[in-house]
Parts: sequence; C-alpha cells; structure tokens
Amino acid sequence: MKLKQIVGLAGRYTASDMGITLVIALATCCFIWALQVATIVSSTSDFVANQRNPGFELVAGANGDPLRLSIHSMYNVLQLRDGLTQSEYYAVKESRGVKHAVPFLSGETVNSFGLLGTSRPEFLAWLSEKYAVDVPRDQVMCVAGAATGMSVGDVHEVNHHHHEAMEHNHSHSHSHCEHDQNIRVSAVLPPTGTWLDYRVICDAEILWHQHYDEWVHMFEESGESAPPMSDDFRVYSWVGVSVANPVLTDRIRQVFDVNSMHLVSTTQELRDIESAVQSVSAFTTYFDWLVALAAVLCTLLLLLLIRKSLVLRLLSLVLRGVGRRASTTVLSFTVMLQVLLGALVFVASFFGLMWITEGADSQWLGSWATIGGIAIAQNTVLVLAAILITSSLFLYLSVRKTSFDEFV
Amino acid sequence: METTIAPSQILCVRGSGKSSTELRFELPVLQRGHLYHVQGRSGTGKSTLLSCIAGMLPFAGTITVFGKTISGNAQSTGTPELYQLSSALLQRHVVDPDLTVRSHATFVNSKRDFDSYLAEFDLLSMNKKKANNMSMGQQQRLGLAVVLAQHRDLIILDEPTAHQDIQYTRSIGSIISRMIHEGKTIVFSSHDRELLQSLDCPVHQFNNVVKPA
Repeated sequence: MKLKQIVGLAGRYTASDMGITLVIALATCCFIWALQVATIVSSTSDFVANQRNPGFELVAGANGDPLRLSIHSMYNVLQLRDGLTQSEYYAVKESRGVKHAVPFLSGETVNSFGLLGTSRPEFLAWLSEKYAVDVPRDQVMCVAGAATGMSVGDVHEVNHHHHEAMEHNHSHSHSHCEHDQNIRVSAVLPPTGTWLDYRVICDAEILWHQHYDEWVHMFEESGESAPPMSDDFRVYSWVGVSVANPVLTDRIRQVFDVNSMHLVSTTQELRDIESAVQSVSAFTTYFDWLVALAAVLCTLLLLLLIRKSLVLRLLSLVLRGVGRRASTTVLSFTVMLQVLLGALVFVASFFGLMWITEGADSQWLGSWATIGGIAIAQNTVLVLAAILITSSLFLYLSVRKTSFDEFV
Repeated sequence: METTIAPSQILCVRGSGKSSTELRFELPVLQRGHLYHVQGRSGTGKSTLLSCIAGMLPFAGTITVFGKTISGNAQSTGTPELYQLSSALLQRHVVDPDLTVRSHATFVNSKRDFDSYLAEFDLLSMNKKKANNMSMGQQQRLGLAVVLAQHRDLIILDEPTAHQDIQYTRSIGSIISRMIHEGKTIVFSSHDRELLQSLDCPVHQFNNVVKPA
C-alpha cells in the first residue's frame, strides 16, 4: 500500500471518527497548554531566582509595605507608592554605621530590562569596593548589566511606565506619559550573579530632567506655565544600604522604622522570597515530565477504551487485502493526524489568546514567534512524541497482534 | 487444541472463552479454475472454515492451494500466506462503514474493473455515499465489487447473494461462472438455489464438517 493511500485512509478515518478525533485533539491541546504554562512559570521563576541581592544588608524606602519594598528592590516589580526625598536620603546616608547608601529611581525599562537612575558617586564607590569594577567616567553614565545583551555604544529607547514615586511629591498629578527618549550605553558590567546583571543603571539626573520635561509639556498643553525644577523632583524610589558592621544592622533599622521610612533587612525578608521562588523553580523542573507521563497514561486509557473498534478497523482493513503491518500504519497515521489537529488547536488558541490580550500588533507577534516559538515547539514535540510513541506501541503490541476469532 | 491431525484436515476454534467450540474440517485440494461449494446445515461452521481458508482465523493442520501446502498455526493471529493470496467476502464486515463507495477503490487493483462491477450492481451513482448509509443488499454488492476487483487468484465468498433479489442473484451467478472460466478459484457457501442454478460451470461440492468436537 502506498503512503498516499495510507494517509488518505487515515484522513478519512480522522474525519469519520469525529468523537474520538475531538477527544484526542483536545487532550493533546490541553497537555501542550499545561506544558506551556509550566514553561512560562519555570522561565519566570528561573529569571526571578537569578535576581539575587548584590550585597545590600538593608533596603530603605518610604513608609509602606515592607514586603513590597523588599520585592521591588529585588525584582523591580510591584511599584512603590511613595519615594524618598533628598533630605530623607541624606538622613539614611549619614546615619552612624552606614558605609554605602546607593539611591535608586525605578519606573522605566530599556529593552524590557529595568532602568534605574542613581547617584553616580555613591554607585561607583560601592561598585568599586564590592565588585572591584571601575566604570569609565563618561559625561553621561549608562551602565548595562551583563545579562542584558547590550554593548557599549548601543542606543536604546527608554520606555516610561510609571512615575508614582515622583507623582506623590507633586500636587499636579498626571497620567502616565508615553514620551520616549533614547540612551547610549557607556559601559557593560561583568557578571555578578545578582539583579545588577538584569538592570541598566544611569544618572538619576537624566531621568529627573526627562520627567520634568514631560511635566512641562503637560502644563503647556493646558496653557499654564510650569514651576521651575526643584528638589521636589529629585526623589528616589529606594536606597540600598551597606553597613560598616553587620552587628549594627538591627540598630540602624530600629532608628528608621520609627520615622517615616522603612529599613528592610534583606537577610530576613528576602530569604523567604528567594526560598519560595526556588521551590517553584524546582517543581516546574519535574512538571514537564509529569505532564508527559499524564499524556502517556491518558492515551493508553483512551486506546484501551476504544480497543475493540480499533481491532474491528484492523480486521476491516486486513479483510480488504491490506496487510497487518500496513493496517497498523494506517491506524497509527490516524492517531497522528488527530494529535496534530490537537497541536494546531493549541497553536491557534495560544496565539488567539495572546492576540486578544496583547492586541493585534504584528511586531509583537513577530517577537513571540521568535522568542516563544522555541518553547512552544519544544512542548509540542514533547507531547506529540509521548502520545505517538505510546499509541504506536499500543497499536503494534495490542491491536496488530490480535487474533480475529471474536470478530469474524 | 490438538496438533496431531491428518494433513487433509484442519482444526480450529469458533468463538472464545467457555462458549468456544472446536471444529474439524476436511478440505479438498484447491486447484486453479475450480469452483468449490461448501455444503452443510446452518451453524455447522461453514463461515468459520471460509475464514480459516481466507487466513483470518488461526487453525491447526494444512491447506493445499494451487499445489502449495500451507501450514496453519493454532497460536497465531492468522495465516498471512492465505490472506495475501486470497480476497474474501465474509458474512460480517463486508464493507468499511466509515468509507464512501468511492473510497473503497483504495483496496482494489483495478479501478476500471471496480467501476464496471459498480455499474453492474447499480452502485455507480452512489460514489459519494457512505457505506453505513446504504442498504444491506447494496453493502453486500459493494463488498463483492471490492473482492472481485482485487484480482486475487483465490476468492472466498460466504453467502454472496445474501439480501439480494433474483435479478442480482443471477447476475452474481453469472459473474462467478465468468471468473471460473478466467481461471480464478472460488470457494463459496450458499443456501441459495437460484444462485446454484444460475452457475454455468462445474461445481465441486463438499461437506465440510468431520466431527464437531
């Protein structure tokens, strides 16, 4: 029997057994979906697990939720409602026992990596002591982490997302701005194994001026004149604190907790977060195999349930002069088509969902096709392999080898 | 199942489990261009014998076809030498219910002959119809068209005129006679007097059952 005839027959059986086709296709689709979700969780938890503390014993932020402050300083997510003014920052910096107080202003991204504004002298002094890294003293500092994939001289667009910390200090609140600006990378840090690898750090002055320009622009639109730039604009989101003596950590913390600030000990709060993230990461490592095993077991169960009809079909083919081997191949091709249909349903539902949630953006679709495409292909191949190997073995051992005495 | 039986006899089991029955059959040597009619009362195992000759059921013993002795294996799933040599129209599973009339052409060697049989059986206009939407008589004729268009040397027909009227019965009788004149070998079972009377060739009658065990 020719391949064309085998595929033709398999196609006709796929179409005629609509119930079984739907069950196998939907089961396949669900298994790939489960793997895809696991992949997203896994890659996210791996990414988060790599965002380790670069060595700050304390993190200072405006009075609010200490857990939110910890998470924000570590992962650059969960925006802070309030910022620290210059006077508050200096209060931290000049406290007894504080060795380095490196301020950061968050809220922007570059190529999806967090962009932090900082005080250049403080940052470079801390970097030099902690990691023995000397950054060229350029006119404008823009240092990219090792994992960002950026190179010196690259120009990237800054995306503004939120200026909540800054907004809080201004009576004239405004909505999010979409006024984008470019930055040029002046240096790339060596790998540190911390969140520094995933950030781009520049002079806070650049960001403050940018925010002020946007603010002025909004005033101009409403026909008003903007007040001159003051220290009210020069706020930080949080401060990384390095202490001279770890014994002093708790004492420094107690001093500030009674004021309008929080000083979070990174060794306490962040330890729990790190451990939770690592647990998720470890679980998702095995989840892929659990899903593949579930796919195998469900396929076996389904094939057992429809074994009688499979044998009848084999008999029908053998009776019509198709050998047992070719008949088994026809049945295998039928399952293959049903499974491929499931994979198609998955791809359509995945991109359909992304399309709905992210909007019909061709650029976005293109980037998903390249970034997410590999993971989708891997998961699809894993599920297809698990189901097809199982079904082929089942058909070969249990159906092809059957005697027809019960059926003739 | 016994394995020490006479070479001209075969032994097989009908059914499965506790209700299974052992059946012994005595077979003539099957020669080219001959027509063999399996006689016997209803329920004596004619269909089982034809299934064995078609290679679909395991058996112990030997069957001699065209001078070649083919040994059966009671533990096997069938006899490939036989089902590769023959084409069979058995009482059940005469057609594939999920396929259309046209799709059955996948199984034949000559599509032109298949079309000519379909025309002879008034099925040509039903090309796109699924087999399970056809009457029993139409399904039987479709099955017969597939078997005949496969051009195998050995043809096994179990009640080929089931569900057929006199006109189709005579037509089938005439086709069987024509095939025998063309050198084909046909083994069939039938209680249909009209079919037997319409045959225009010598018929070797044999009563199959030796002794139900």
